[in-house]
This record gives sequence, structure tokens and C-alpha cells, in this order.
Amino acid sequence: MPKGDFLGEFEVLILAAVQRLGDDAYAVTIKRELEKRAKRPASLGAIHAALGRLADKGFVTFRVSDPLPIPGGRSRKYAMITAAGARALRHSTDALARMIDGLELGSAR
Amino acid sequence: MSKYSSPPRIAEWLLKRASGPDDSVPVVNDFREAFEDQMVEAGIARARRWYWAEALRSILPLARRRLTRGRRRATTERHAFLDSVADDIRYSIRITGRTPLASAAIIATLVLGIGSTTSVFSAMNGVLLKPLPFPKSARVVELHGIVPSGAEIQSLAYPDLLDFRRMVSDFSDLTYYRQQDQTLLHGADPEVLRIVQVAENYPRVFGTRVLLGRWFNREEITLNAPKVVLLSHQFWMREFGGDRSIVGQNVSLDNESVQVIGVLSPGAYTYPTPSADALTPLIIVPNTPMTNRGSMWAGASARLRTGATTESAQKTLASVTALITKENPRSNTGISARLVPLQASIVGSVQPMLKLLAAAVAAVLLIACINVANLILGRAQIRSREFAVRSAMGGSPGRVRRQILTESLFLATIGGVLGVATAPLLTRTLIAVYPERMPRAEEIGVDWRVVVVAVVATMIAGSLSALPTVRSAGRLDLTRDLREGNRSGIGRGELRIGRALVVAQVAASLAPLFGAGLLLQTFSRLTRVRPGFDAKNTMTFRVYAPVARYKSSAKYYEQATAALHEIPGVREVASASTLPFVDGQFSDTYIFKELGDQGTRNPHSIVAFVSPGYERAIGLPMIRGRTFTASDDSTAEPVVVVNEAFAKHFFPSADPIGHVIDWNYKNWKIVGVVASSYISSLWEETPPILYASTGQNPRRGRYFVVRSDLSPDNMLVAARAALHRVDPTIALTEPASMRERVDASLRAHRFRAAMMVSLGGLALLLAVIGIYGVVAHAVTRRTREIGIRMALGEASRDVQRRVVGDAMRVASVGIGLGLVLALLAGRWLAVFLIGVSPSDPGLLAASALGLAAVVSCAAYGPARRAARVDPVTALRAE
Repeated sequence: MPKGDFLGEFEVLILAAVQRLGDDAYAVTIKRELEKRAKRPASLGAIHAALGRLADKGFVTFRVSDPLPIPGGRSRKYAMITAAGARALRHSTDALARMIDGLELGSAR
Repeated sequence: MSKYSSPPRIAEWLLKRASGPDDSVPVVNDFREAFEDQMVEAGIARARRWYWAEALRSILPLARRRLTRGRRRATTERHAFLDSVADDIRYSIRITGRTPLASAAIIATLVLGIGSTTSVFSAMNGVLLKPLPFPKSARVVELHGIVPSGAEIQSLAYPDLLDFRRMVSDFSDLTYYRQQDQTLLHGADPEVLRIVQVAENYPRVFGTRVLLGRWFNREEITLNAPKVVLLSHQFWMREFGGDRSIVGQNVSLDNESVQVIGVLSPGAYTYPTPSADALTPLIIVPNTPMTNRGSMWAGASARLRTGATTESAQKTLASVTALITKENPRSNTGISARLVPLQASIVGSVQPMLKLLAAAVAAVLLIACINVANLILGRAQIRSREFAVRSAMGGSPGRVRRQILTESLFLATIGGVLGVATAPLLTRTLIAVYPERMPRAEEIGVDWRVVVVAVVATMIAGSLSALPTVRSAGRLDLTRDLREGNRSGIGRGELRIGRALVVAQVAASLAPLFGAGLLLQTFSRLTRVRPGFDAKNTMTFRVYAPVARYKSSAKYYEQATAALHEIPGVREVASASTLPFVDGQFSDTYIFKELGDQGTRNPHSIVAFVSPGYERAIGLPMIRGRTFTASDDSTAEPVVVVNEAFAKHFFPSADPIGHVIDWNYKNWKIVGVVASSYISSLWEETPPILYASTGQNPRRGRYFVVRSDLSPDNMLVAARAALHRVDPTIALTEPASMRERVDASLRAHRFRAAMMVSLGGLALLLAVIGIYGVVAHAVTRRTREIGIRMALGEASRDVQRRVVGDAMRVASVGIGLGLVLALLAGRWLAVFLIGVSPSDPGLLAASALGLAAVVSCAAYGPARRAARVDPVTALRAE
């Protein structure tokens, strides 16, 4: 894996959220997931920007849904993790795991 | 969305701007969804506050993303574009190599077009556009004198010039000068130097600088001061090898000892003689014609004060002139002065010629482009199937067009580089064959302006040549091209464009052809004009007998004439102050005794001083009366001889012999009439001339006229030896036979005719190639049709006639258009024509018929091929 494809922390979190959400991953649900699980506030704009960067690297692809069948229904831009994205996520988390293995970090709780 | 309140509009607008057109829809949709969730949870007011906060936090990352993505896309697109351009060029090289003959033809045509354009422009640039090589040269004007007859001369009277300098406030300074050749004795042979005599303030107008020594001081410019000289840098290097010790030493000029006080800087500008050998002080001798008003002998130039213009200075000058005339009505009535920017004054004479050249060269470039366009079109037609396949495989028409343009520009660039490489050679040839010494020729060279013009010419040639093909490629018809490409390789549209090109080419060739005819006819008429004297077997040259060596020049000329007579084969020897077809004829005013002084209406003519035997030596028949003899000296009765034009003009119904002329404080009796001759050109009228004898009017500088049985070269060698024996310090200059002098006066006409004939020939050649190509293509394309017709019984002679007829129909449209262009060209050439009408119908018809004949010859080759088509083979080939 080329050096430039390492992920930033925020990108790791987003990619993890996309993978976790499966077919229902779009900016609103990703934001909710980040706040719920990672206790990490993120603006919708930042999430869109990060998804765009991940797409440039080939780690996610997009699918634009048909408008919802209700009055004023809108289309959504869903993100899906690619195989390369899944590999990059594992690579980053493995590296992190190996680095912190055995460290006395104390508990955040 | 009636049941929901909408999100804040400004915030939404900001979000749209930040995310850009591609992302704004999903971003805004997500925001609305989240906004609606917030509204359900917390109410409208809080939801709006949330929306604002969320939007403000989002703007920065969205905008940053938009920027980086834009840059990424631009980079990838640029890479793709450059990659494909590189592909196009690589492909162009392959195609060029694959069709070497066609490519060579295209490149050669472009080399010719671009090379000649560049070289003519570099001449125009050096002569017309570049400022003169000294500081603020654009502010220098030359003063021209206007004499009562209205003629403009490049000199004025000294006292008038002093008044101008004092009274015209628009001049920051005014200086005067005069050309004076002097003989230097240094080394084995005497050498005549081109010298400018200058006033002390000369550098303030011309920015002259001194490298060694110093400029003239005030005392050296006064009468009876010790003689001094400043050498030009190139003369110092040539004659003295750059020896610095020459400054302070004495040299011999016209047999007088003159001290060298310095050397000018390299490139120092000298006027009116460019690159003069030396400068000497111009010393004004009081109470001589030099200080007379009305005696216009001094050249003058002035530098305009800051803020003054040529027009404003001209106005002031006019009022000063009026004032001078009022105070000196006798000498200055009818005399005025005109200001001419120095550069215009120097290059004025070449301007029309260079413009003619530029137009002719532009026509050649245009015809070359049409030809190349034709060749490229032909190549593209052969490849139309290739283009169709490319399109079918997803190559856009734009891509195909770009490929064609790249190929054309690629070829043009090769042509341009080679053209620029040959340009200096062409320029040198141009300067060499130019009829006169081209002013500022030494300043002609390649500079950035020339390079820009060459690049522009190349680009224009490249794009213009690709244009027709690009247009036709835009109308690509896939099904037709894939199908037809198989059969014939040419579509109807392309054929039409090919025809249009032939029309353009024929039209563009007719004008240079007609122009060549006009100039050639002018030239041949002039060569048949008889000059009036007998130019055969006559050698002429000039000598000068300086005061320091001969108190009376008569003694020298007596000895020299005798020495020349002794040369075996010499039949006549005479000398004269001036000759026909020599620059600088002297004119003067006189009074007919019986008419009395008529003031400004006194008769006026050329006056020539000749020795006895002049008319026999130059071959002018005597009409009546007698000619000068050796006894017509200062002690005898003053006599003059006039020419026939003089007799006809002043004595239309009487015999001039016996009439008396009051001239130069003496009464001169007319004793003879001699035949008229042309004096400065073969096309102006033969002017009246008053001949006076050198015996009664001594002249130190004279031309010898020697009629002999010797060849001009042998005559000259013998003459040099004879004169050397008489006096080794006197140099023989300006040698030329009379035949050469007359020919030299035709040089401009010969040059123009030769140039136009070669350009016309070139245009014709290119047209032939183009027409041949188009007809050959058409025949190839219609092989099947011809086969069918022949199978149905058409005779091969008819086929041939039809193919030629088709070509002629196309060409006749071109000729029709060409006639209009030819008439325009003729009107434009009118200034160069003598005795030939600029719309000469016979010549116009001859040019058109000649062109038609050439076109039919060009079409004949392919037509024969068409006539030999074997119907069976042609049909089976399908």
C-alpha cells in the first residue's frame, strides 16, 4: 500500500461508520453514528468533504438514491465502502492496535 | 413543504456556494433532513439556530474540498490534454514520415513562403521600423528647401539657417553640414574619402561621441585655423589598424597637411553620409556665395525641443520664413523650408519599393498556404476512412480536427524553422540585388520583432492551411465515409472544398502574373529608348585637381587629356563638369539680353561645363553652328552652346545662334546647337541644357569621357596608368562606361520586373501543382463512374475532354475573380509604370489566357489517365 493512502483519524472514523451503517450510510446517519459511538461532534460539511476525499482515494463510492416517495421527498447520496477502503481501514486500525499494544494508557472512563 | 417552515435561506445559499455545483444538492438535502429532525425534536427556533451553527461549521471544510477537487480535476485534465497533444505530435511525425513526398512538398512550399516573408520583414524592420541608431533620434528633423519652381531640395542658405536657429523656438538646436569628398595620401595609392563637413554643434543633434581625442573646438571652425580631422571608427580600423598613436599626427588630405585630433566611437552616426570615413570642420568663408541668401548649399537638421512636434515647429518655421522673405524680397521670394522627420527623409525613397515587396511576398505566402491546404486536404481525403474509424471508436470530431490542426502546425513549424534559417541568406541576396544602395542596410538583421513575425507567419500558415480540412472534418458522415472510404476515399464535400481552393489559387495567381507583365513591359520599353548620345565604347571616370597642387586646374587637365590621347585605340578624349546619368546636375538662372531682367521669371536650366571635343567623345551630333575649340579661353569672347531642347523651349520660332545671354557677370553669345539627350532617366523629357566651355569656366573636379576601341576593362587599366604618370597623387574615381550608367538608371525597373516575374512564376508553379492534385484526386474518385460511362459507350476522347472541361470551368471562376484582383494590383503598380496602362486590356487578356492554358495543361495529365481507364478493371475493382 502506497504511503499516501494512510488514513487520517477523522477518515478512519468515517470509514468505520460507513462500514458499520452498510446500506444506510449517508452524511446525516454518519454524523449521528459519530456522535453516538465516538462521542465526536462533526459538521455535515466536514463529513461531506471527508467522504469526497475518501472517494478520490477510491475507498468509497457513491450511489444517489431515487427521491423518497413522499411529498417533497429528496434523494440521498449514499456512501459504500470499497474493497480497497476496507483494506485501508484494517491497515490503519491494525497499525494503531500494534502501536498501542501493551501500553498503560489508563482508562478514559 | 407547506407544513414545515424552511431552513434559513442565507445559510442555505452559503452552503450551496461553498460546496459547489457538483455537491450542493446532496449537501443541501442532508441539511434539510437534519433540520427537519431538529424541528421535530426541539422546535422551529432552535432548529434554525442549529442550522446556522451547523452551516457555519461546514462552510470551511466544504469550500476547502471544493478548491482541492477543482485543482485535482484541472491537473488531470491538463495531463490528459498534454498527453493527447503529445500523441497527436507523435502521430504527425509518423504520418509525415509515411508520406515523404507530400510532406516534402508541403514543407518546401512553407519554407519558401515563411522564409521570404521573414526576410522581407527583416529588411522592412531594419529600414523602416527601427529607430535610427542614436539617442532620441525620433526628435530629429531634416530641413528641406523649397525653391521658387516648387522643387524640394535637401539644402538651404546659410544665413537663413542662422535665422532659423535663432528664431524657431521649437528647435533645441539646429546644425548644418555638407558632404565633401577629399583625397587621402596614405600608402601606395591615393584614396578618396567620404567626408562630412560639420558645424561645432553637430553632436547636439546627432549624439556623436568621440572614442579617442576630442571634438572640434570653436577656434578650429574659424577661417585660417590649422586644419583638423576626426576619423570614423571603421575607417581608423581599416586604414590605420586601430593605431592609437595616429591621434595628434598629420595626414595629407587633398595635398594639405591635416592633424588627426580624434576617432569617433564605434557605430557613431554620421549624416548625410552614413558611415562616413571622417568629419572635418565646415568653415564659412565670408563674402562668398557661402554667405549669400538665396544660395542654398548647406544641409541642415534640427532637434525638436521637448513638447514640440514636427507640426508645431513647421508652423513656427513658416512664420519665420515669411519674416525673412519680407526683409529680403530679392533673394528669398518663393523660397521656403519644410521639416521632414529624419528617418522618413532617409528611407522615403525605399518605402514604396519595400511595401511592394511586402505585398508580393504576402501574396506568395497566401498562395503557398492555399497550396498546402490543398495538399493537406488531399492527404486527409485519403485518410477519411481512418478518421471515420477513429470517430466510430469514440474519437470526437473535435479530436479529429485537433489531430489535423496539429499535423498542419507541425509541418508549418518545420517549414518555419527552416524558413527562418534561410531568411538571412534571402535578406543578403535582397540587399545585394537591390537596385540602389539600400539605406540603413547595415542595420538589417534578425531581432525579436523579426522572430515574432516569423512565429506569427508560421502559426497563420499552419492554421490557415488546416482550415478547409478541419471544416470538412467537422461534417464527418460516418456511414458514408466508412462505406465510401472503401471505394474511393473522397467525399463530395471535400471535392467542393478542393474546387474552392483551386478557384482561390487561380484568382491569387493572376494578379502577380499581370503585375509581372506590366513591369516587364515597362522595362522592355525603356531598354528600347535611345538615350540621345552614343553610349557604346565610351569609358568615363572622375578626377579632382586640388588647389594645393595646381594653382590652375587647366594645366592638369591639359596634361591628362594628352596622356589619355596617347593610349593606342583611343579616338576621342574630353572632360566635363557633369555627365548624363550622373547625380548632381547644376542648374542656374540667367537673362536673355533682348528680353532684359524679368525677376523671378528669368529663364532657368541645367548648365554643363565641357571641354572642346565633348560632343564628339560622348556622341552627341551637332545640329547647327560650331562647337567649342581650344581657342575659346579666358581671353576670347565668351561663348555658349545650347541643346535642341533649349532651342525649342526658348526660341520656338527663331534660330538661337547669335543671341546673347547675361549670366555670371558676363555676356555669352550662343554659337551652336547640339542634339538633345536624356539626362537623369530615359523616361523624363530631355531637358534644356546650356553648355559653357571649361576653357572659360575652369572646373577642378571633372569627368573624363574617353571613346576608344578598347574593352571597358582594358581602357580603365590603361587610363589609370596614364593618369598615374601625369600625377600619382590624384585618384581616379567613379569609373563606369556610359552603357553602365544608362543601365544603372534602369536597375530599379529591372529589379522590380525580375522580382515580379519570379514571384508570378512561383505563383503559377504552385497553382499548377494545386490544380494537378485536385484533378488527379477527382479522377481517382470517379474511376468507377468513368468506367461505367465507358462501358456504356463513351469515347475515351470525350472522357478526356470532360475532365479538362471540368477543371477549366472551375479555373474560369478563379480567373474571373482574378481579373478584379489584377486590376486592383495594376492600379497599385501604376506609380512604377512608364508608357504602359495599369489596366492594359491586351496584357490582361494575355495573362488570363496564359493562365487558362497552363491550367488546362495541368489538368491534361490526369485527364489522359482517366481516358485510359479500362471499364472492366474499374468495375471489377468494386
